[in-house]
Amino acid sequence: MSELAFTCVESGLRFAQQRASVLAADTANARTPDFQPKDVSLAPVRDAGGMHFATMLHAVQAARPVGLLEYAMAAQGQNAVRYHALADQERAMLHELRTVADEARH
Amino acid sequence: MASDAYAIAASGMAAQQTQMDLIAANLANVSTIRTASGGPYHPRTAVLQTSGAFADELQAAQGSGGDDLLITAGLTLDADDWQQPQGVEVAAIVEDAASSPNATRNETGVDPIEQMVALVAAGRSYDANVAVLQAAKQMDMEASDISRLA
Repeated sequence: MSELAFTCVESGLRFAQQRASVLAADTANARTPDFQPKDVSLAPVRDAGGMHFATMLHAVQAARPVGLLEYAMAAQGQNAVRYHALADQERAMLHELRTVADEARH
Repeated sequence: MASDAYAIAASGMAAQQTQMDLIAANLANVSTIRTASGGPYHPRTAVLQTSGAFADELQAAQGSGGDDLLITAGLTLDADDWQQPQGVEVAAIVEDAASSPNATRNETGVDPIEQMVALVAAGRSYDANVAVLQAAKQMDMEASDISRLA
């Protein structure tokens, strides 16, 4: 199991946590006048160091307050599923790493 | 990070609770024609605003190295665009002196139907914040499960 695989999965987990905070703010401020709802997404960026993913913050266009609450709830659900999948992946990789280490010992 | 979501959702729940308290008071006083100030009761509502104090507190808690928050392994976030997610707080409680068209003309300006609709809306917002809190809790439980394996 490469270090890169762990780095990628852990980056995804951190992104999901970051997004959860942004969506929590959208939910809490759904009825706040003049609040500009936001969301974050991943965008591939190519630079001198190669390709990496940047977290892009963008405005959300949703009819408020009901539309925004629905958007935030749906996005929160999607984010939770993504986080769960990545957590499963991380657990599977750790399990595999442990199995390989055990086999190497015997 | 998920702790941000806890604090933000908690601020949303507190704000909606205040709103529900005011609606309860409005409904209870639907027929109050004389208050301590002498006039009839006027419905009250909470004006919400993003909680700047919370964001400042968070920034202070993170210390001067706030930028570290913006960069995660393999992910970069444009610091110019980033604003710390903010919670919500009650900015003011305002009294609506203008009578609602559905309110009884000779009594207060409280329209029970309008108040019930507002109560449902506040309850829905409160539920949404609870869902956010539960999602954050689930994420933290998964993270702690992973840390046990590591």
